[in-house]
Amino acid sequence: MFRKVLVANRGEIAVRVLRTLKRLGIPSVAVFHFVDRAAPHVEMADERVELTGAVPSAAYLDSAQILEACRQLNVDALHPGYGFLSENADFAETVTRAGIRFIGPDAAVMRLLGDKIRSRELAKKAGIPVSPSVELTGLADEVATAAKLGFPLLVKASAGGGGKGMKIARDLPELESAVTLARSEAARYFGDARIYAERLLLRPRHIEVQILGDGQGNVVHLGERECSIQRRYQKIIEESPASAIDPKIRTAILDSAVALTREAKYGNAGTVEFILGEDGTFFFLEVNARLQVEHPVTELVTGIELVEAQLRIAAEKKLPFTQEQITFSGHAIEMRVCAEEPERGFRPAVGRIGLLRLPRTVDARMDSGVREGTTVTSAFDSLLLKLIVHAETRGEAALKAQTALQELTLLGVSTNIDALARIVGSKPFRAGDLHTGFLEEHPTLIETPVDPKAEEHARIIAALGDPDFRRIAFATPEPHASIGAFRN
Amino acid sequence: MPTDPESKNTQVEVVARRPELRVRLDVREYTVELIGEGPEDTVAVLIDGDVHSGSRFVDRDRIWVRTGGRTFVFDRVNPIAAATGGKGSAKGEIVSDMPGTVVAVHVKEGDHVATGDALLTIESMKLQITIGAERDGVVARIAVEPNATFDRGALLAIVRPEESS
Repeated sequence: MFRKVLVANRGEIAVRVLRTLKRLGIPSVAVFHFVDRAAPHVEMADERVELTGAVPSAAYLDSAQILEACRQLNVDALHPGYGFLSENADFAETVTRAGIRFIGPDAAVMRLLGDKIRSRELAKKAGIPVSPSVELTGLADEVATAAKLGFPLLVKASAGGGGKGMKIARDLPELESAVTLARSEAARYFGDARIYAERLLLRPRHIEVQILGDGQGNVVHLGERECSIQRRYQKIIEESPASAIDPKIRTAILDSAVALTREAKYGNAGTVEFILGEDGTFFFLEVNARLQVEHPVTELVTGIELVEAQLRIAAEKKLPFTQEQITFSGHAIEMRVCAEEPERGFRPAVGRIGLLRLPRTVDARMDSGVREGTTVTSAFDSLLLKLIVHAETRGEAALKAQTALQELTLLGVSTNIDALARIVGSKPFRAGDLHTGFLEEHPTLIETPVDPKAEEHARIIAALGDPDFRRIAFATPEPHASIGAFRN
Repeated sequence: MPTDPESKNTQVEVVARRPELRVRLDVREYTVELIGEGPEDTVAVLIDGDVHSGSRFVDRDRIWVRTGGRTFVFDRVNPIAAATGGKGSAKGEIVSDMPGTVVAVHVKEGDHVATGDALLTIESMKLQITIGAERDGVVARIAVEPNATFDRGALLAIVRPEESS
């Protein structure tokens, strides 16, 4: 297939790609920054190249150094993983020009889909619903035109971001005042008074479709994923299939994803993201031209190994299977274990992983970029590992997910493990009542009071497990023998 | 109501060794027994007759415990240092390592004390620490009063060895 493949990434995704290369007997090369010198991906690869950078993340973004590593070690293909250079069209082009196969879509397709306006135009051309919007330049009939989009509407600054200058309007009078306010705020915040109105979907769900294309216009889908559980606009729990979705809407979404990527002559693995409203309305959001973090849920329900499929498509330029050969079985849930403090606004946490124990009583897949002894710094993304479970039904998968999280032990760094366990164990999650505002709607899943009794039991375990405490407790005269102080 | 761990005394204090080990946390007392330490840093204990087990990891001054599917992090005060008064001097002077406040004085001048007996409870860096006698002896001086604040290096108490007669 390939002579040698360089993995231009780190963390769990580098390990994930290397695992497939190893299984297929393809020699591999890892790249790493000094801070990652003891990371699992470095050990796992057949060869390794150190990259230098002013800051660690800059090393993994340094296309010149990575290209030089490819040349020196005579690799003939490069897997970019996700993040870093994975969706950098210039990088993909440079790699290809150097005679190295870039495992991903062509630079031209990446550019087309990476451009918000061009990809929207393409979606419209392929007959896919995009969120309707009306620009409000100040002309008299614009407000009436916007109202025709249907309420509720979101009024946004064209130059905006971060929610500033955004207004929700539920009817015409609200729209009129929102327009006035938004325009003055847009001018004040961004020095640009241009605003527009678009349809606002209430309690929206994030639904995305995994596709594989051969680059000639042939595309298959591998079903959808629901990624509605998010914090700070980032997914933390994903599943496949989507929970409680109307089969007709599901089919329409899958067909849209295929139509769009067929139109783009998409090559390799990609994901088409949609937003789905309570009323069944869905709109195209964007295309992620790479392997996604949450790809394992698709692998578990289809039995298709996506990294292997990526390698085969890149090598053979054709799809390894037809749509009819892709079958779906059961339900899979992925949970992202991150170094963070959920009860403090998900602030990233750092430290050294002193103890790492995997779930014992349930079979859970773990895709991990860390191990015992790994020092977690703030240099990179807070994702440490992913737990993925698979069962026949969604209910069984959620139960398995909860048990796996409760049994997963990671000590030495604060993580979101306990919060994830509460989420997958909660009634609204079990009911499948998901939307992207789920965690804002259920804040107690994040900030749950500690049961004082459980905490005291933990303190006793802490004390009795402590050799110094035991020495004093058992070796000094009584009464009032001794004291150990443990405090939160 | 979320509990506020900062607001209560959360020491694990030994109140009796026999016939069974009894510890006090805040207002509650428990009869406890160490059943054993398993592989992988697990500890099993009996608490009022029920088995509880967990994994522990000590990271310098913090102790991590995972039990009942939940992770707890506590500050660890070296029990020996706490029980023996930190930097005790040869003369029996007990000097504070850190600035703090006196929470309670458990003995008075002239009391005979045994090694490990509680002398003072202080609060420092939001930690309550009970200072114990580091030797058998007589309380020669209590240099502070409840609620008094003190600086690092302040003399708190003096315990002199028993006069040999």
